[in-house]
Amino acid sequence: MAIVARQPALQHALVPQGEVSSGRHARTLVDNAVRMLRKDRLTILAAGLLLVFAVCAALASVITQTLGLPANNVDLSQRFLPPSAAHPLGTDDFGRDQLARLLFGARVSLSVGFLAAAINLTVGAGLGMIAALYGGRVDDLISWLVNTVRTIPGLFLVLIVASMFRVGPEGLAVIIGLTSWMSGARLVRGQALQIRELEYIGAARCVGATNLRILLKHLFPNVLPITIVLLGIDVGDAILRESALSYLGLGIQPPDASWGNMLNNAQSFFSRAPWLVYVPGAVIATTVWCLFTLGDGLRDAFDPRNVR
Amino acid sequence: MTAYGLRRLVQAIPTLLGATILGFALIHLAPGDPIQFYAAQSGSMTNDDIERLRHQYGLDQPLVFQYVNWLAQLVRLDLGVSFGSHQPVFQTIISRIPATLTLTMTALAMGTLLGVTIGVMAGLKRGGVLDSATRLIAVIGHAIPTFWFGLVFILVFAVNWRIFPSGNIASLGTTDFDLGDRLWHLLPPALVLSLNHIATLSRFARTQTLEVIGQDYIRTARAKGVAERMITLRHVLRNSLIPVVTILGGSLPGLFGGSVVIESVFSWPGIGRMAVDAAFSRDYPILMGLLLMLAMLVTLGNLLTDLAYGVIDPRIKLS
Repeated sequence: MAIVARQPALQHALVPQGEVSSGRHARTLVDNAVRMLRKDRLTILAAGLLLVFAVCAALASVITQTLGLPANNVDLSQRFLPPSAAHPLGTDDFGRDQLARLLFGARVSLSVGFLAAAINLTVGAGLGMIAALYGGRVDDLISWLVNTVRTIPGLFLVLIVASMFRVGPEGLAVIIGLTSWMSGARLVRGQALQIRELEYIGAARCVGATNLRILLKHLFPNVLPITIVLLGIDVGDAILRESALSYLGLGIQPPDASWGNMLNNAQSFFSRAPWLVYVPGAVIATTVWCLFTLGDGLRDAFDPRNVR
Repeated sequence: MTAYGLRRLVQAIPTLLGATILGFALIHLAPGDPIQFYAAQSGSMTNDDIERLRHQYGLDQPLVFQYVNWLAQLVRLDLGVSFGSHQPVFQTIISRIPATLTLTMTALAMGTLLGVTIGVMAGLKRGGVLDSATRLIAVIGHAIPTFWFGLVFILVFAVNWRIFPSGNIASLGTTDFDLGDRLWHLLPPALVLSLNHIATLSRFARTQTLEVIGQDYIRTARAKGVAERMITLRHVLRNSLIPVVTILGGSLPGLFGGSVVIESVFSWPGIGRMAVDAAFSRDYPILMGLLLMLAMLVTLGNLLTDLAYGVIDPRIKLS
């Protein structure tokens, strides 16, 4: 679904690191990136917010216990209570506290997002590097696979797979990861094709390095920066996909909370409890905005053309 | 160009075959077949019944055989019979396609118009208020879950303010075709669906505009005294629009995928909502038919985009 335009901005990020100039300590790519990031307030804000969300998710049980808000405590006499001191974000159709469910939902949504993105980048980067390195028929096969899977709209594909394999959160992460690796594979393949032509790859071949060694020792470290930058955007995409699936009822299953399935019955809340519609979606949007902004910020920071 | 178009159509065949093989394998290798699923739901089926039904639908045959069978039927435009409604899949899908095409194409047109306008205006006044707003919209437009945007839209504009209908393709009880009523129902889902597209295009059009503004021919036009409005319309807009065409084809999978959720949110009777219903009831023939149909639409869209690019930009030689 939502894929922020991925420009191949990092193609010059592969300059040799630590080139010494005029005796002073050389600035490395990472040094430059850190300098850039310090000035980029929006990225810092996004990273900070993400950190807060992650800590809240990790401490969900501690926070809810301290506030005395059990997440799955069904109490039908407490249904659809508007936000109050006892329930800061109100209660849902089963009388459960919405804040507590958001906190526990954060665990599911964030970890599914990260796991799915890690899987999709591993597969994507792996296939992309193999295609570029081996070329010929292998490249044709992988490129054909990428083009083929891309003709099926992503959300439709993930919908089919999720309905066939009714799985838990981990399985859902695997499904989302395995249905969204194509653009990563294309990008990494493009990068790896450029690197393949560089002299040090030729030199490595001369001294008899195997393809596997070249892939692990030379290609991998060089495509790692783009992959890390893609991570932010891909985690955001995975969270959006999980939320859409869970909204439709084919993702995380109740009584477990995820940000998406909290909106599953949203249409029936319209007149009675609009806060149950606004809050979960706003939390998803904020998290994904942070991830995209972080991804964009990192991409700019690791682009040597931006060095000032 | 005709030769190029024909060759691309031929090249599309292995891709489409691949997509159907992939879908077929996914659907049939999943644990449990549809008969078991229906048996579990009805609760009153014996093992003999299950075996008999499995045989009737050909599910007891080897997977390769089933796929070849499916292909052989496809040649006769027969996509099998829906497990749920027992209606022919091909006719069922065809009857739902117009609603989805209306929705997605309206979203594409609206999104392109809005996105390009915003992007070009932002590029022309670089660093201005609109420019900053555009960059914010571009990220937020992608970050907002479209289904939630749809829900909020309905809550605000249909439930609270009663400006727009809350969904469906026409008002209940209307039997005659009423264009105004149809458009009123079409606008909200199309707008919501186009959000992603607006975000992508405004950002892209902005970059393109900035690129074109720096070109020598713009300076030449200024130097010879062409009015600023003419420069914008004749030179900047036209030239920055060319690369926008390449993005249109790439947006199709996103729009069709988005329609799966948006049609459910707005009760829109197209193939997207059909896909969700079929996924819930594991209606395999319907899912396979939809997969093929969507893959064909996406492939066709990509081909048309490439052809259009060749027509618009004389520097591109299609070969």
